Amino acid sequence: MLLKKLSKKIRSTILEIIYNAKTGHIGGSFSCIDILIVLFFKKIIFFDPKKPKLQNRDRFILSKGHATAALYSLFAYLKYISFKELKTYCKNNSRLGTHPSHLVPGVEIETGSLGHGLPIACGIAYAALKDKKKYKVFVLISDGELFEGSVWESFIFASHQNLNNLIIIIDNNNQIVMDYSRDAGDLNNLKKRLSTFNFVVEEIDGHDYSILEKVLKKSKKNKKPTIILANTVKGKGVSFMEKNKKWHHSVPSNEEYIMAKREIEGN
Amino acid sequence: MPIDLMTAFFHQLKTLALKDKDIFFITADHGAWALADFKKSLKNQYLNIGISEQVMASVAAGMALEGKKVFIFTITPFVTQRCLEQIKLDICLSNLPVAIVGNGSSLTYATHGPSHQAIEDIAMMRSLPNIKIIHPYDNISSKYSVNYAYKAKSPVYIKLDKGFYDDIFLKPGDNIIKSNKKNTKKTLVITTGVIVHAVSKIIKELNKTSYNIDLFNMFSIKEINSKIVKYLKQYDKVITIEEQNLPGGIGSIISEIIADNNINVRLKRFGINDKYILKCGNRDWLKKKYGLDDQTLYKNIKNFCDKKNFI
Repeated sequence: MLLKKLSKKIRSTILEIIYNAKTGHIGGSFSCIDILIVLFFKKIIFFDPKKPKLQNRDRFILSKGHATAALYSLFAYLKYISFKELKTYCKNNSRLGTHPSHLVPGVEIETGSLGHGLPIACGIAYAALKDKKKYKVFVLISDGELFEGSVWESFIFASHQNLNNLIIIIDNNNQIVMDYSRDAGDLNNLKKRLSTFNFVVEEIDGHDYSILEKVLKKSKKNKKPTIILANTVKGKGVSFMEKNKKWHHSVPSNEEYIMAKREIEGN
Repeated sequence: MPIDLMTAFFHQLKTLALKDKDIFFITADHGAWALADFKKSLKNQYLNIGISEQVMASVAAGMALEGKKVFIFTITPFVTQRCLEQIKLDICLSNLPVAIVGNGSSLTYATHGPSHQAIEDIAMMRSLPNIKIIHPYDNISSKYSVNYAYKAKSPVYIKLDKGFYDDIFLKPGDNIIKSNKKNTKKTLVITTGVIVHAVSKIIKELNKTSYNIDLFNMFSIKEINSKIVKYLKQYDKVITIEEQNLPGGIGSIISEIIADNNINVRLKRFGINDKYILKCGNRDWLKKKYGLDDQTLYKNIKNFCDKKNFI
């Protein structure tokens, strides 16, 4: 299946589960879903849904944990979980909540409070290097997480330890919960600032499948830790949600749901 | 030559780490005499991560996911409170067997001020599900704490003191010293940590006279010894003594046990009465300011034992 067609299907699923659950984070799920699709469907990440704890699997941490609507929708298409289970998203007694749980196959550890996933990924990568293991560690963070001090502590650690098995992807959608990121703090010249560390830094369009595939494939061979600054659009795929402050965690009304569905499936 | 409590700890850690390469030690730029020896012998299992406690806790969690037994170490408030959310979310939530070692229990760092003192850590750490809390009080228990954390399948917080102390009990862990007097009116004093040394001397003095006081020392603070309920039922009066802030400390723990088990006993808690002292001095000076010096404790234990009318 073409990735573009697949992305429409998954975006539509994300919309459905959030609409049905009446909760979830739609804007940040739409901004990062193209990155996730390339990571998993282009087999950048080595994984086996039938053996989620395979010893030599690549590790993936969703540090921006609030994007489970994207992750779990993707997991249903990958067959980590069933579509039937996906319908339980945020329902009573479900293991699928708005933030990841390690009860779900494919999830390494809980995240949710920002600034945790990256340092955990650093620990996994450090242990792998110590044991001379070959697997890679991928971690997806948001630009909003760059406001957390622990992220910069992790940059110092990863750079100093030369964690060349660590690939950090920043979903740079330029928005935080209430405002645009620039309204809360100076995140300008990120590429230049990140380049002061011992990293390979790439800045790309986070919705361009071919560029994503090329840069992610290359990252697995880098001799230094990699940071991919993926420029994205919050709410990508639904015009009235794109770059709109309302859509961090708003739930679409019935009318908005129909409009969004039409736009996603029509384009 | 006598060794201190910290040296006993690091000797034991080195002994185990030489046998198991999955043991890993991370310090957030805090040293100890005995650590130099560990570092020299086990370079590949040692890391100074810098002054970054949050990343230290999360990195330990990541390493634990991959099967490492990580001991993280720095001054107590920094390794417990600075990274409390990392301990909660990254370590406790997944029940990862990381050993959190706080150096300088209670008022050890008296001269350094409240930033370095550890009087709230029991209250904070005991509020976290899955974690175990242990409080060594001599060299035998200090060594034992290493073994305990090494074997544990869950997070362990080791509240590690400093200094030279005689081995007070024959076995590590929770211990009771009984007066073996036959009087009917009995009092139980419950302590934790190195203050047990001073309290046991006070009780010995009092027991030379008409008093009948037993002493129970809590090594395990979170995983409560089931014998405590049995003991509490055997006494008329119970006193808790701790070099800790009273809210959430061992006095709180005992009062919860008394309430939960409908035990009819009089309880008096001695500890730090919910305040910070900003002036500095050594540990003995600060203990006196908080009413935890030997003379004040002697007087307070005696007065409570003498007290007849509680209404």
